[in-house]
Amino acid sequence: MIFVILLTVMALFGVQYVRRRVAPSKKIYGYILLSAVYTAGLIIGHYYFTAS
Amino acid sequence: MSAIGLSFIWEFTKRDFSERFAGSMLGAVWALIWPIVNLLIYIIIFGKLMGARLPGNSDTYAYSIYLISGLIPWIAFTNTIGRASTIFLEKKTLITKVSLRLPSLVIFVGAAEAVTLAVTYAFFFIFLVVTEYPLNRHMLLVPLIFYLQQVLALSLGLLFATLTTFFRDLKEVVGITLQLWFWATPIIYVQDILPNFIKRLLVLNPAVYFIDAYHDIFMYAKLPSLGAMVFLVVMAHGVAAFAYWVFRSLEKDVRDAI
Repeated sequence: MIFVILLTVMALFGVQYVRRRVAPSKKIYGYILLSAVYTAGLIIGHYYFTAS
Repeated sequence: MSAIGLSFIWEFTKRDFSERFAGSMLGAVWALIWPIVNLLIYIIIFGKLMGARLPGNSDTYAYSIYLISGLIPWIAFTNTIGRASTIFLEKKTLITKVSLRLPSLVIFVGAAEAVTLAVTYAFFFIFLVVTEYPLNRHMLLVPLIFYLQQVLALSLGLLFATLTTFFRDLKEVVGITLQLWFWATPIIYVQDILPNFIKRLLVLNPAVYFIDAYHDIFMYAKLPSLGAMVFLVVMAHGVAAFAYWVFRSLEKDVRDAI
């Protein structure tokens, strides 16, 4: 659970970064990359914690 | 997330439901009745009347659960692609009158399908609990797998919506392709009945990765292959980036063509 919260907080920081720092034409690519990293993190986390 | 207009998507999703059942006495209750009827058909006809069984499993409801766990997400997947691929043409009056971000129209289709799927899955879980089917912790992965399949569906929807504006015949091609894709994916049959050379070709079918994941979780209570899941993440987001790039390259022409 702590892992999910940490990952979510990091993703929210990522969203803020994309909103403020990334050029408007590139924002969607930023969100796509964030989404990929977040879902991959959740999946790998689930595998890691259910295996241990 | 103003780049995609969340408030717009929320409003359109609500309107989609209210318009779908506008004028009926029961209203949005129909959104609950449809999934219940569909589930009962699969359970009663395949489980009880036809007595369909999975190889090596004598459970009365095993085939129904196998079928439902793959078919519900598949319906959401194909509905999303099918509806999204014509959304620019359907909403052309709105697009020409109001300044709006076109990808938001595609995303609202995915959101509306997600609500329908969530309701259906809620009834499916009630059925699993009532029949004392063993639940497992891997079911926590189901929302993630659904999210990834919808990212893929929305991306293909955006790609087809862009191209359908120029080639109207593409709408029919998408419909036929989805029908063929359904039969090329092990949803109502199990992979084991296929000849070896076709089984090897299944790795080329992107839908197999998420349909197999649902089957692994619901039927076999095991984790889907990590490699397949990582591939699904990369593929879904890669297609999303590509579809958005194509859309951005053609956006001006799309608006002109509409």
